Amino acid sequence: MVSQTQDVEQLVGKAKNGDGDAFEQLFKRFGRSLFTTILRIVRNYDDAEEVLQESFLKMHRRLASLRTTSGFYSWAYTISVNTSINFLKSRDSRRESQLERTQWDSIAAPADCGGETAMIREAVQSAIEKVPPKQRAVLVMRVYDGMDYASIARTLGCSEGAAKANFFHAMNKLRKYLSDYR
Amino acid sequence: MNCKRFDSLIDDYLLGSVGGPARDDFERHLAGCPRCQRNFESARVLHEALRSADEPVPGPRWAMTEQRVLSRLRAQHLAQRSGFLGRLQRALSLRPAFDKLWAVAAGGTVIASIVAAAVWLNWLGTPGADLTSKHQPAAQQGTSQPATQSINNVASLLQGVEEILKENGAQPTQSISPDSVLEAIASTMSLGALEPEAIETQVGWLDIWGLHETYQAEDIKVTEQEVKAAIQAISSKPENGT
Repeated sequence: MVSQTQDVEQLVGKAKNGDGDAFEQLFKRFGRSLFTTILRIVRNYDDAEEVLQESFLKMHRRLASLRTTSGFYSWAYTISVNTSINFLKSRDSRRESQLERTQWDSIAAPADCGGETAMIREAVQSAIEKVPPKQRAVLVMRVYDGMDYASIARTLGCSEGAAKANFFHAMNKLRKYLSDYR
Repeated sequence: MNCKRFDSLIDDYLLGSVGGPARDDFERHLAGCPRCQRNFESARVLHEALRSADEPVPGPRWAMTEQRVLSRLRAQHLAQRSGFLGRLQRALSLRPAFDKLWAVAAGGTVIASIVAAAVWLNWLGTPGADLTSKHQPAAQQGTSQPATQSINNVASLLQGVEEILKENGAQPTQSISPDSVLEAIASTMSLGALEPEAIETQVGWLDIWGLHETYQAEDIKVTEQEVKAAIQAISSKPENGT
């Protein structure tokens, strides 16, 4: 019986050789998980979809440079996070945050949320959107994806200290932005 | 442990990544320092709020996203094969968000062109996804090789504009003449020709939008005359009803 890891490695190997179906299978296998992370960072569904697509385009172009068939997800995750950051940097200059928050709320708000919960959610969402792209990405990786600083540093191509500093600044910004609410 | 050190560990502690002696020191300090107890409680509330605010699971919407992205990836495969669609998409910056911005910037002209082309697709009674395969036999039977290439390019073009049409949620609302369709396509093509980076690449079936590190550029040129010839060939071709 072929293990899941071996299965993925086989798919990556086939995709590296130009097998489009294998690449589609990789997308189906990992796309949703990566999309969740992207959505947490860019906080807009349509934008997240665009980033996801762009990320997979990059993956395909760079497949040949992937030295081994193992570690595909980490590699794909790295591309997705960095594409998200770059997207945010360009998007932030051309969109209004209010629109983004409205769209996010329409996705994220559960139907049964109470008034207090909704207020907290709105305050947190608003605060997160004010955090700069790289710090926000670190926040997502650390808080939601449970990554340690070494892994975050590898993903962003920075030092572990820089990863810690980004997380520290992100959390401090959240505290500052939410201080009025509390 | 002093208060400064305690503050630096609060978030990591709440994320469960402080262990061993450091954890013991942290908890010992927490138990005996009112100031840090307040900070800890504040941090705990923040972490709880972060968790409660996170509902990013796409749910049923993901299925639609998956299909859209897969459709686009497959479209690039076709683009790589035909060459022309990729050029069009590059010229139009075919991405969900940018499409809309670009369309606004263009004053809606291109959207109108897209609608026109899509209406024409309906007028032909031809699903865009099957355009290439549908018209290929006729081209092979009755036209020269350059004309065949033009037909294939135009078919790819129409497939592309249909995709854009769907992306923008536009719906054809009126019948239009083949002449207006031709004008719309020519307009779209001229916009594409103005795009300095409107070159096709032959790197891989997903390679598009000029983001590649290495590529072989191949400028696929299709003249307006070729488009006219192709459309005439398509229009005069007896419909087979499928």
